[in-house]
Amino acid sequence: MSTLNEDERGPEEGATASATPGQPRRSALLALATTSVALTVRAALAGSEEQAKKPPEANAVTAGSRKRRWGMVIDLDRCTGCGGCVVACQSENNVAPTGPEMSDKTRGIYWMDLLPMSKGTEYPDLSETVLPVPCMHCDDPPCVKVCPVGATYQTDEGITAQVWDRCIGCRYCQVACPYARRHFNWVEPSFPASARSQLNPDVALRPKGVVEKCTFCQHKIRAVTERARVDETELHDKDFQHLPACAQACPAKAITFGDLNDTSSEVSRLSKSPRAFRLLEELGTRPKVTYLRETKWQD
Amino acid sequence: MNDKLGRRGFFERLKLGALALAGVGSGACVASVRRDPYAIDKEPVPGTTGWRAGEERSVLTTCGQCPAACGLRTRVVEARAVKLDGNPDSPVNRGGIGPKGQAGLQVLYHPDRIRGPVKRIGARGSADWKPVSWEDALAEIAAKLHRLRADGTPESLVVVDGQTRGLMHELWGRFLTAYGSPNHIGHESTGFGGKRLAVAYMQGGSDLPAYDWEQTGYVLGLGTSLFESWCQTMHLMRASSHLRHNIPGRRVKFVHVSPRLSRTSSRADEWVPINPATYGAFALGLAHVLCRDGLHDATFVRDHTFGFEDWTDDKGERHRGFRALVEQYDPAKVAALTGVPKETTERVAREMAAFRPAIVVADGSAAAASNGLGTAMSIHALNALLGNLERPGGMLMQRRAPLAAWAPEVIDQAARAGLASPRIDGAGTPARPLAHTFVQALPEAILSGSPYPAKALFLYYSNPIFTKPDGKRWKEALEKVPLVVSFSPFADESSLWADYVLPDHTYLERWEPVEPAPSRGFPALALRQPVVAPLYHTAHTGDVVLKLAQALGGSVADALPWKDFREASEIRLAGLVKKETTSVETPPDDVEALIEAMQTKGGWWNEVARYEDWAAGFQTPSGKFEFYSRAIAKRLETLFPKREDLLARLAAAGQANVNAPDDLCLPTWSPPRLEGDPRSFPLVLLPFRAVNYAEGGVRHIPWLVELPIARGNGWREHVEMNPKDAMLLGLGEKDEVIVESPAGAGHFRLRLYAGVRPGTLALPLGHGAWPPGPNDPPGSYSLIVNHSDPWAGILAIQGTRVRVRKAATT
Repeated sequence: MSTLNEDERGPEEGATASATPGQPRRSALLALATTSVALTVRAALAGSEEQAKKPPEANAVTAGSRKRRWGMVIDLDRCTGCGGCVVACQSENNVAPTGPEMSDKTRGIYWMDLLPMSKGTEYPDLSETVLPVPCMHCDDPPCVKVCPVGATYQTDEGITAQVWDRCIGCRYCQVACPYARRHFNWVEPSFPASARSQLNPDVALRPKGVVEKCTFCQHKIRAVTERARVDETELHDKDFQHLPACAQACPAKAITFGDLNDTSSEVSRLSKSPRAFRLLEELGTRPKVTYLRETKWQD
Repeated sequence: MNDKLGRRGFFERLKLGALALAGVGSGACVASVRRDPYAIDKEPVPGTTGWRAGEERSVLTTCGQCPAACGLRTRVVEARAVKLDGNPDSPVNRGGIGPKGQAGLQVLYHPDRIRGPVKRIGARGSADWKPVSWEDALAEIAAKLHRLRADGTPESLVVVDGQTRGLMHELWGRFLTAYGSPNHIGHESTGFGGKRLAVAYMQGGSDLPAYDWEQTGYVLGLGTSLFESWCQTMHLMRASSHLRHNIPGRRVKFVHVSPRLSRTSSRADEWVPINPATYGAFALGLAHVLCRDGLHDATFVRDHTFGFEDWTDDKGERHRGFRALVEQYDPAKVAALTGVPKETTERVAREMAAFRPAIVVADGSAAAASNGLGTAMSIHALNALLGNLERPGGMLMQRRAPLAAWAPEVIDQAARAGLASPRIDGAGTPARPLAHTFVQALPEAILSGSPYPAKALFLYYSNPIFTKPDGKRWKEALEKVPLVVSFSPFADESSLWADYVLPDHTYLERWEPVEPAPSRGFPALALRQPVVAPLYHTAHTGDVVLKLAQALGGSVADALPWKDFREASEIRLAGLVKKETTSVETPPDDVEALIEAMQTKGGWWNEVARYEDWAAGFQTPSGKFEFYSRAIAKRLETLFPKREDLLARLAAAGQANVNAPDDLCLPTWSPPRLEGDPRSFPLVLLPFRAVNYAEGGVRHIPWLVELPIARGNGWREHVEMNPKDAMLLGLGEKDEVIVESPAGAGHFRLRLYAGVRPGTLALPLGHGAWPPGPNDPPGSYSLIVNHSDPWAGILAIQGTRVRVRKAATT
């Protein structure tokens, strides 16, 4: 009897990873062109001369260093759309349910959301796919560039992070994000007195009037890294593969996390799969979340 | 301690402190450091025992949001449970965990939990309760139960038990036997009953079957919400992921048949749309092709089945075989019934045979129709035709954990007299001859006082006013019963009608061994243990039952002599001592060591597959799989000794043309009964349970209510309609509508979804008002007309027609 091991992977990615390096689906030229446009725009807007002078890839890969660059791969062929990742994220990150009124106005907060993508409108010639969408943690994040107060920033490990307390609620970032992965707190997050016990002490609460977003469970990465440093143990790819709450929960093990700078990591390998694609790559945001799907993806 | 805290350690701690401070600024602080190796004495956490500031523990337990019993690993910080993760060791979920499982924290910390035992002082339904002590509540209830026994009417105690297996279920059974009541009423007839009955009658045993998903070659799902509310959804998600990508050179095809494009159908490789409640006809059509073209497993059918060919019984009577039966279901005829093109039927049948071992799987909802038993048997028969039973990659009889038995019960005269009475729900009587349980008949039985009055009703894991049709009749019925006791931790609809609520712990505060719903066939017993101390003044219902038994005294007390549920469980667990196991390296030597091992692994299991053990697989009179169920034949013969009686019973069910008893013993097809005149009720109602349907429904758990699948409509009761139908009715997205059925009406929000079959209306169950009030409009179950399979008592959830109109704007 075969048993299912979470680390088991099919031969497909392994066999083809080396065969198809580089840009998987979208035109590499287009990506290059848009990146340089974005680069100019960024230089003009943010005035970050030093950063802008670097060639596009230098942002991500610092030559010779062992700096990490976190990325995620979501296998849509494995995903069953159960929503385990959604609740895992809400529980881990203290996201309050928004209640009937806000929910009605689709103002619910989902750092990890499930978007239904349907094809066809005539019964029975139709199909539906569910797309789990966390923050794309773009290498060139449009949201960071527009923040007037520097509340949101990119960490040196490539995570688009945010200081909640610094946010003034102008919502520019929400407009700038082409993936709609930023959420505004329209109401004070409410937890009934009894439910306060379940709050995760590692994650701060966000007040009303503040925008919030997925952090790739940065606090968990830090905890693991810090732990290893104190214990003087070495960290391996497998320590990170299912580290964020969504990846840890996924019953189908459709979500893989890890260091894109580590060419031997699972996430690097999978992101080069012939099944791989990224959302709205033509915008030049260089998202670090990659999707895998057998059939052709249509936007 | 101080020796360890050297200079280096001190600096490490300083750095950690600095990091924690830095973390505050970035919004995600790394405050608590687990198992601090340089620990100094930290201050105790107020209000707890044995917890120090910042202390974290990891506790293994078992989920209770559905019968799957996924293993949980709980992160407990300062005596508060803050996250539920999957237990990587659990053979059920291997570390994964779905939305329901994680939302368990909102069950534990729910603001509307009942904080201690209460007694009703106001009118029923008013929630006008006063707190009572456990001692007083139990003494009062025991006195009433004692009186019923003294009056010689122990059968008038009815226990509606929402658990279908496991030690609590068995404890209730033992209590009722000792007390003298046959009325241990389960919920199967409104759930997966059809499937369980089909397996029981054709293959024997009393459990749902298991499936060898990992080795199968083809999966045909009929109406089954495999990735939504199947009884082993977590395992199946993992298995489907495995079948698609983990087997070199092979990708197992999954075909899903259902009227609505569900999440499961959209995940399948092929979706076959079908008319509601016609799965049985489709299955027989497939059987027809298999038999016609000789694609069935002839050797298996010859050696291990009974009733395939025509046969002659001891009395010399000729009986029709299954092969002759399916001759009439050629795909063209089936197409007219099911709406599935004949080419599809032909192709699916050929694929199934070509990619053996195949799994043909249905769940309760496929058989939840007036033709339920026939449907479930037809589907089950396909597995036998393909030779999939007890074979690798096929369907397996679930092996049970070898628990020891409790000592045999010695019952007294009063109990014997009570047990001799018929069941109050009519299951197994001429009313519903083939039913094991028939809970939906209770309100009428109680209100009519026939066969006898119900004088005490216990509701365990049960909220019939909300989850059964005829909610209004249930309220009236509960009104009539002099003593109603609910064990719910929440003030749900039915608890509002109770005289006493004796709140149970939630599953995260409870100790109990749990048998996971059948998954892969090997025996398993998960362990549930408290992740936090009980928050309120609640009590384990197992302990309550034992206390009641003690208070009743005599033979009842003797039958349940244990001081608490744990002691009662330990007797059973002794059976696992020294037994072969794969959960730990060496089998434990005694019960104490066993429990210790179960606590550190999450349970006991023996992950060894057993194939082709025919004696265990076929527990039937013939020792084979029976296309012609002799168990049914025998039951009918016992209940209707004279043929005229049987014919009269058929006529009463409107089945005068049925060839009895043969047609009742074979997997036969009959058209589904849909209540309501098609002219005034043009749409067929298709209720379903989505992935967020947890124990007790959806509405009380905000994370599940707000799960993105309902797209902002979760807080409202809503229905889905095909946009074309909506256009004809002049209705639009998010319109407020009134849905009317012959049983009742309800106010809903309309969602348009092209995946709904035109002519049907899809209804996700479990939404509604929370907290419930006595005057709330009846929930969505009240649209369902309460009618059932006339022989097996399976509730026809797909059996109601409705009409929809726009609600008057306010």
